[in-house]
Amino acid sequence: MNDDYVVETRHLAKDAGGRQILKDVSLRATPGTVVGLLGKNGAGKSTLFDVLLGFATPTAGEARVFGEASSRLSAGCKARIGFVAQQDELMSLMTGEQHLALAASFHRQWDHALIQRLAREWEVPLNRRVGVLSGGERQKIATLLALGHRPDLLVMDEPASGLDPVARRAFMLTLLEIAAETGRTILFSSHIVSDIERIASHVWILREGGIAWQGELDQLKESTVRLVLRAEHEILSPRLSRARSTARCGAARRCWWCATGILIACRRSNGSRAHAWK
Amino acid sequence: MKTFWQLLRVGFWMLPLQRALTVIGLTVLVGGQLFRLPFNMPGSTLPITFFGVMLVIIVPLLAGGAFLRMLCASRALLLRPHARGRLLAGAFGILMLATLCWMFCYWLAFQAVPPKLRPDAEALLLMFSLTLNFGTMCAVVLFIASRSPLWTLVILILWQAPGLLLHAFGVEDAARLLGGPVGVLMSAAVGAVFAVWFLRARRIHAGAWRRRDVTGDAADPAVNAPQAPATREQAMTRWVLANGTSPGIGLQVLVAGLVLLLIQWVLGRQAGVMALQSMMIGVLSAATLITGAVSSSMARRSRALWLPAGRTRLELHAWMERQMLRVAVAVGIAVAACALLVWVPFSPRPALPLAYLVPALLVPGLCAGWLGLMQQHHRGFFDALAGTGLAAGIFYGLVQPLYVGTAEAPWMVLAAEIALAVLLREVAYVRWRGADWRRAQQA
Repeated sequence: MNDDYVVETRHLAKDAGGRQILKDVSLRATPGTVVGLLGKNGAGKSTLFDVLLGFATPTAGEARVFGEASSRLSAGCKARIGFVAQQDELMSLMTGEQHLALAASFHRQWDHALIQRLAREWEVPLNRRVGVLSGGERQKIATLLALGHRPDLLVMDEPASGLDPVARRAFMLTLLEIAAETGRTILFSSHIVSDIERIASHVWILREGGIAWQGELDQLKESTVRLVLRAEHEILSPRLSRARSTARCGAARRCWWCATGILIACRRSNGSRAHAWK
Repeated sequence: MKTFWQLLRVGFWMLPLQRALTVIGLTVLVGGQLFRLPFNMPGSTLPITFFGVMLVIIVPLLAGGAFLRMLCASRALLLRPHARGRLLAGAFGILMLATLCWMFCYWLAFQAVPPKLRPDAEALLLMFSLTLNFGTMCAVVLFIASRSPLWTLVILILWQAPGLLLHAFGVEDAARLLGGPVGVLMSAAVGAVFAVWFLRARRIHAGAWRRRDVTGDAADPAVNAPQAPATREQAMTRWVLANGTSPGIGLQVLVAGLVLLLIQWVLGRQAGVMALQSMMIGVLSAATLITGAVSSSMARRSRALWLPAGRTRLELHAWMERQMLRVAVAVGIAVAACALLVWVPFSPRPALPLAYLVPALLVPGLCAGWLGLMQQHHRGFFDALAGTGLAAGIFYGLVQPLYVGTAEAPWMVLAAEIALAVLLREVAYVRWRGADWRRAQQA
């Protein structure tokens, strides 16, 4: 294992409830990278984060964060990590302010100015009880809690899933801004491909518990072909069928979403776009 | 230290109810000392002091364990450096602070009496260890109870074991030993075991006070077995009572009441008949909390019934009230059955007439029922005030007259309780008439 990596796993496997959730996962992230984790529901994204951060122990293999074994992270190492869970684990009786004050009391350094600025920009009602807030607002508070101590590694499990498009864009821009700080690493999972396209420098694709693809985003884009065709009628017209068979025989084959299929985009006669998957 | 202050805020100042109780309690405490309000105990201000302190600490005492579990259930907390240790230290710090504050108030309450009647150092020490023991027990047991009732029972039995053994072996002065060195040792031992587990547990799960739903466990064949189709009424009842029934709740209260009475009798029989009866009746009146908690939970679950029930707000309120009354009757029968045990075998019997004792035991339950039903979408200062009045009614209408052994029934207190019940019913009716389903808490 190399201590230069912020996150590193080797042949990681995790079984739960008689089912293999992760199998032979070997990954690494260097300082300063923004990694987007893609995968279908049940692919093992949340479990991977759980094992990486030591919430769950691996069945086989090894996971290290800042060179320390995930299952035995020291207090110093923990202080360098921020985590946003998929479903926020806030106490519904407390206000956002009370949550922030309690979280700040655990850390020697807490960036009050950053939190106040972000709360203002994201329009988070900090003085109201969390129980009466919407899902998106709760998610924003959970993110603020993870950012206050300026972590070197920020892990977020679908952080923008509850946000509206405008809030999501602002949120992603802030993430980009945070990622721009030297040496900070961000791992985040998402179903929204455009979010990953917008800020990720690297992509990990999980499929049925295993790693289907990992590497730089640009590299992934280069290995993907997107055919734009003009179809007169429906998607499955003879011309499109021919295009599909051509694509199958051609040089570029992989859809970077599912990592195995071929994405064919065509334009109908009325100008609307349609996509077909092989 | 920062965490300690934040926990203090969570314990005493987080919710409007807590803020109201803290302010009212401190006012009662200071007012009682300033104006030397002795109430029914001439010479000292102990009753009013005790009442004021209880108002301030009642929420942290009864909910502190659950709050602690809620705070440490978050996975993100595991990544905060030494977070669990700080939370635990803060919780024990608050426990110690509350004990010392109570000691100070206890000492202060006897400053008006002649010096020879004031408690000596040994009595103060005994009170300190008793309070610490009780506080630790509440914190640890309620922490466990918010997840596992079975483990709570095991811990309670283990906790009471030294007392039972001391009595079983006929040790002289068992009560004093139990309150003093044995109690302190038990607190320390339980605190140490709890701390080790708390700090080493990989994951502490959130509280689970809900009963299992009918569809809750897909793997359980008994759950998956085909069930007789429920009518709409039955389905609604199952939902609001969290898959329970009124007789079932009554039965649970009966069993819990009998166990508590047995423990009281075993541990307190040396204290004298009147004190024992007072304690036992005081414990039984805690069933009021059950009625209040169940009706409050029913009211909070009502949001999900709004569309499927097909009733207007007032029709739904009337239906809810009927369910609440069924629960109150079931709990009342259980309490009355337990009270018979306190009444029949003891000699002398309580000096209070039975015609007073029975309604004084049951009316607070009705008050609590309507107080719970009021909380459909709103809780505020009035609710805290009503709860305080109810607690005062139980204390001055039941516990204290029994302790003093007076034969004069405080009928005025009972009349005030009945008036409070009528008032709370009206408030509940008005609130339900304008029920705001958006603001109603989702069950």
